Amino acid sequence: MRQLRTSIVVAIAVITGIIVLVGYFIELPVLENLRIILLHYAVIFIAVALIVGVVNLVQVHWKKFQNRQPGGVYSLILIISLLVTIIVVGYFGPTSTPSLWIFSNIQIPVASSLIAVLTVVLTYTGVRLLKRGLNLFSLLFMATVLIVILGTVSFQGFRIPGLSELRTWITQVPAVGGARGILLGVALGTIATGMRILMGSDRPYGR
Amino acid sequence: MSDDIKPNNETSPEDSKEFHKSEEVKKSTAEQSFQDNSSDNEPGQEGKNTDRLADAILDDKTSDDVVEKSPVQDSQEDREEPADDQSDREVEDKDQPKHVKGEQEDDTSEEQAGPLVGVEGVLPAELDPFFIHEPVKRSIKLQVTEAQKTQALLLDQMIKGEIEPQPEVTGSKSASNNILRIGIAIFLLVSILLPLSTRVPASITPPISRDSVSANQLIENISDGATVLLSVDYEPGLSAEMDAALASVVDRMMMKDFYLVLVSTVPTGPVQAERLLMYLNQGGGYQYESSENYTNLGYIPGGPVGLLNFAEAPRQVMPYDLDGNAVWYSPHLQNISSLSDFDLVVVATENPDRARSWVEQVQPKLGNTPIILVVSRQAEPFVRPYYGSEPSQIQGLVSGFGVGAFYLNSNAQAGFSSMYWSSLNLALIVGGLLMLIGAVIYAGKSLNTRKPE
Repeated sequence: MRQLRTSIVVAIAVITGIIVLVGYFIELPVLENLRIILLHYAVIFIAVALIVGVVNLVQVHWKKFQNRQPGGVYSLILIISLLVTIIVVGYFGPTSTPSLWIFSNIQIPVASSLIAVLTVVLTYTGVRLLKRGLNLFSLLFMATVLIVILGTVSFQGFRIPGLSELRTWITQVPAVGGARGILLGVALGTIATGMRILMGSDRPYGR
Repeated sequence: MSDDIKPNNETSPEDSKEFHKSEEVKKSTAEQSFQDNSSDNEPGQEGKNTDRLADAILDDKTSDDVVEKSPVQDSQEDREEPADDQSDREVEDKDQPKHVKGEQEDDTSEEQAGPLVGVEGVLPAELDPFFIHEPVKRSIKLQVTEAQKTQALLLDQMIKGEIEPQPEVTGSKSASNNILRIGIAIFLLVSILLPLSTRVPASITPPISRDSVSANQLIENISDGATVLLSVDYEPGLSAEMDAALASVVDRMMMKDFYLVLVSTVPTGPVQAERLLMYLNQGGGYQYESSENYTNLGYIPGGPVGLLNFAEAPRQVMPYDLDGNAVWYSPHLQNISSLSDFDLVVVATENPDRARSWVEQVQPKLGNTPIILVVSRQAEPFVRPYYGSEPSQIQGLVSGFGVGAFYLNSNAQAGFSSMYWSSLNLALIVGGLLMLIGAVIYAGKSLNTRKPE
């Protein structure tokens, strides 16, 4: 019975994948409509999953607060914030003045603060980079960082000759080369994963 | 291993026994070291991968040792096999294909039908299901060179070093680190706030790139009042950079009275877009209002799948704006049935994956409609391959708000970019100098400690 259920699930996944894939290569109105319907379903499922995630988040934090676990107060703050935001945005609308106020004065500052802390930590790490060891690679790393940083700026219009060009070369040749390699790797990995799912050997949708 | 092997004609039974003993000692030592490694990592799960790596290397070593035996020596060993090797043989036997019951009998069975009736050991003409046996187990041992082994061991040691608990930093060291950290934070903070408070640096101009010039020309070539799809796909945390970059581009479009259709694949994107337009209305003196000059279709859920869905059927996927109006029948959008009907698509994102999704899922559906990507500096290397390819998959690339300031200068208006550009400039100089000073000090210390040795 369990094996039968698994087979049905695999069959649904494989057929769905094949319909969407074939729809790219063969221009048939029926196939195109079927593909759009399937994509609609997928988007609805993903949106529902988002709601399920929010409900789960509330449940987990409520339990944490109820059981008086360490940090339980923060869980309560999270739940209250969530409820207040839902009420304000739901009642006044997502683009209303109160909603924009919450976004501009709470969400953006909090998120930006984390990035700001990251900036300080990265600078601190950069200052102490050569403390752990002086070797060719650490020197190369440090030189690249300094060239990219100092090649970006100009002080009252003054630029160190050649530094900006070197910075441009680093960001547009080795960095882009590496990025292109990553993109190719991602593409090949996606094809391989897709093929495995279409053949039923990978089942990310459950056992 | 190779040192232990003698020429075949000189191999005596005693030598073979000694050889086996040394092999066993090696194996047991290797297994012991492996077990030690495993026990080191027991408290956390992080060690599993490193153990596997060590295991693979270990297996490979022992397999190499086995391969190095000559066939003649092997046969001699087989003849003089001590009792202890019995268990090894059993293990090897397990790796051999297991035949199902009846196979042995089938080999000597008589033919039951046809002209060969009664003859034994005849090959079957048809596939006999009893001949089907379990597949041969293949070895999955790594085929690596000595250099690769050394590098893998180095990586193994590095990872182990990371997961091992570090000794506690003494009080004075911890205090000095904190002072250094706070000092760096103060330096950076002052360098950012100083230009903002004094508003000095109008003389500092951002670099002008060819990309920004071509993006600017692209917008200029589109007729006034065109309909543009604008996707605001960045997180609030990076809104400082992205707002500044996008504001200059949108400002340019508002000057040409483009009708903007706003979407986002980020939940906070629709609010972000509203906030940006509100700022530009205040700063640039525009009167852009919802429905009349722009429409906000809101959040597209589903990531790449949602984007593909939107690209396939925008009217069905996003039929209403955020106020619940059926916008597709308004005078501005009634002629738009697919994304290729837009005059321009602009995507602003700090995330390379989202940029990739737009290029992969949406760009093929755009036809002749150009697409401009406004990205942060960190995402630029990942997006540039799409811009640099031939034919290019995106027609315009604006990266970072330094380029945004170019738009600003050409428009001769004050805004985000000029304000932030000077702060960024000074903060980068200070940060770079701090790193340079740190590098010189620690490099000097490191060289001093090396000399006595």
